[in-house]
Amino acid sequence: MEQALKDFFANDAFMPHGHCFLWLKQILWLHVFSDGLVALAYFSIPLMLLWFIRKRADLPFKGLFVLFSAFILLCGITHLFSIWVLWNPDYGMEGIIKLATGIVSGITALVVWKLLPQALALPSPIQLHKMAEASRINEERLNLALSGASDGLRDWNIITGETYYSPRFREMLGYSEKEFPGHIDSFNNITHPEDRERIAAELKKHFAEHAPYNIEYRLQHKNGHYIWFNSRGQAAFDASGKPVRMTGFITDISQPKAIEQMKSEFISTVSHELRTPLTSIRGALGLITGGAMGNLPEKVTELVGIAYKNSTRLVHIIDDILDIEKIESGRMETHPKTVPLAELLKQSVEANHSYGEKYRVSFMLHDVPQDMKVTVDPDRLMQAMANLLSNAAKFSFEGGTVEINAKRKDGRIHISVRDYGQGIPEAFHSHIFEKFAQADGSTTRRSEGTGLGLSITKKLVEAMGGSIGFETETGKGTTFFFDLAEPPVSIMEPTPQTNPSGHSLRILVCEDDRDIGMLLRTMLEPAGFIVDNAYTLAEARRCLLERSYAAMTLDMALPDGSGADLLKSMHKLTTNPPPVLIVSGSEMAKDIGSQVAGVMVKSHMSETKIVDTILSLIHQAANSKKQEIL
Amino acid sequence: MAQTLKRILCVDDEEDILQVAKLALETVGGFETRQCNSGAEALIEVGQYNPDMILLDVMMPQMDGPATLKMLKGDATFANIPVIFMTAKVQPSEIEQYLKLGAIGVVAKPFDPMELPKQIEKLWKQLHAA
Repeated sequence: MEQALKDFFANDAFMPHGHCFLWLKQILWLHVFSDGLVALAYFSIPLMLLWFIRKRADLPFKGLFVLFSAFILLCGITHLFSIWVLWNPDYGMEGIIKLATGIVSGITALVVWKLLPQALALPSPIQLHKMAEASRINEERLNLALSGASDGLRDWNIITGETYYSPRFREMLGYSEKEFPGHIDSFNNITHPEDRERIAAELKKHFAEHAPYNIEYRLQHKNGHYIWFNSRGQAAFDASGKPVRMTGFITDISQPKAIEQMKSEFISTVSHELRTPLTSIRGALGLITGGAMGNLPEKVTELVGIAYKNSTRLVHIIDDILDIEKIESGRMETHPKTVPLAELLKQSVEANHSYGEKYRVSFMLHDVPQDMKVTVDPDRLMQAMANLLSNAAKFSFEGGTVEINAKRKDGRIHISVRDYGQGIPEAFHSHIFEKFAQADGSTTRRSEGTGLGLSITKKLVEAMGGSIGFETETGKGTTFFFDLAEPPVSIMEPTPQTNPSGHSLRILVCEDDRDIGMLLRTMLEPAGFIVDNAYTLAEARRCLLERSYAAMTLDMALPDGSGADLLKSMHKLTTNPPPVLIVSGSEMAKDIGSQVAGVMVKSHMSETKIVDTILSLIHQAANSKKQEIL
Repeated sequence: MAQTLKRILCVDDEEDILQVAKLALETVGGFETRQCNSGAEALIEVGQYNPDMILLDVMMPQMDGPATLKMLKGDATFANIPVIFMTAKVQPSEIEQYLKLGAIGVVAKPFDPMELPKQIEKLWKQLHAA
């Protein structure tokens, strides 16, 4: 084999045929012409292919095209060299060129073989045509559906900002394609300024949690007025979970919004109009039942009592209807604050004490940790608790107990109200939170409620970011429970205000109005003060005897006397009287005696103002003491 | 300004409510009262009656409660007479608005006639406490 190869390449064993071309000139030129023509053609093909690759950026198998171009180019050079060697015996170079052509053609063949399955998977022109036709039909169907549904389509490329708006989208807003270019900025520019923050928050939630994107917002029509739209959408995410595209629809909801507004105004007007005659009816009956008109015959008193009781019930129904309407229309005012839960629950129990007495039921509030706080509108939480407590009292047996509890569970605060009554009939479980729902017949007495209390409570709890539920057992009672988020530690634990020796500064708030007392507490605690509430003069005296205070606020009109009495006896109660800030109901109270350090009008109170004033009083008191020592 | 609350001017376009308020304030509270059916009437009556306090309805035709209060506050003679609004519109923002206008308090409708004198007395005491 080795000898055969040696013989094959040996000059004497292998004689090339030479370039005689039978010594015919015509044959020689035929070869020159045909090789030249082939070379020319071969050179043009790579040029055409390279131009094609450049023009078609999305061309598949680009590498193969390059390889093929190189192969064809080398073939062309081979043919050109065949002409060259007719007159110049550069057989070595010719061999090298042929070798290069062979290598490149071999690689090309291998690559083609490898890519063949992928190439076969590509749609054929017929398939492409069918797909295009199906796509056209789908688009037509979508456009028809959109035009029938009067919805606008938006397809937003989140990376580039480029956005497709369907013709209907622009039509609803009165813009032409030129006036409303295909970019997300066009949309952003016409959103109502008040809605922007809400839209951004909803998008953020959708991108982060994949929560359904369903929002109502206003867009500005070309004519300047705003239109309400409902928008639904879905984002597409890349492999890393980053949103890359979002497609969605907008529906004009201005008409239902207007109807909703009319309904809301109607309910509000009717409710307020009903209150006017009710004020007279309930007022007149109240004067009679209250004994202001003297004694009446027993039967008349009984009948007037029934009329008075039911007029009061009617007032509650109207109040509840108004509350439901306010919550459903989003007009319920809420003022969330971070407040200690124990104090709120204590107030709830006290406020509903008389209700419990009416049914001879006692409320028992279990110990609630003092550091347990919630961020809620205190009035709304009190309202929700009032509904649950009154409900529990109504459905308890006489002499029974209603237990109120608050515990931490799974990072949230769970508040429960438990009664030991008859329990809720199973058939009623699914309707319990519906409006005007009342289970009767199986209870020992008919309830006197409006049938809206639990529905309102559910909505209030949900508005506070919680959820409500119940557990019930026939003959054993019912527990209603709801959960609320516990505010972050940063909100709950402010930097404590301390004196130079490092002791925390304690403030006494003496105020008989529990709401204002609570408000002052919630203003002062976040600033780092420890706050004690006193609701009567007696409580304030006890606090001053027991503890030392850096400052105190004082309401002058207290149930068991005037704040002025406390001021007079202050030196008898403590050797270190705190500076006193009078928190008064009116401007006129500013003209106050010299024994107090400052006066603040309740209606002008603000968190910053009260904290600054208290700090300034403490500072002044400290300075005056230094001067006394000096 | 008087230190003892005695004379109260009640203003409401509803005759029946005026009657209930009168009975409550006079019979239960022991005050003297006079009644007006409109804001305009109240502006005339206030000069003649010289009340210690005005109980003023918010929603009245033509001149409503807030407009009446503004007129009173604009006249130095009556600017210091404390005014309490009577209204069914008692959302926190609405109450804040009434207080900003210069009212010293709000009585929610429907009011309890047996409690009305106490409510008014409490606001009066708060005003004079200092």
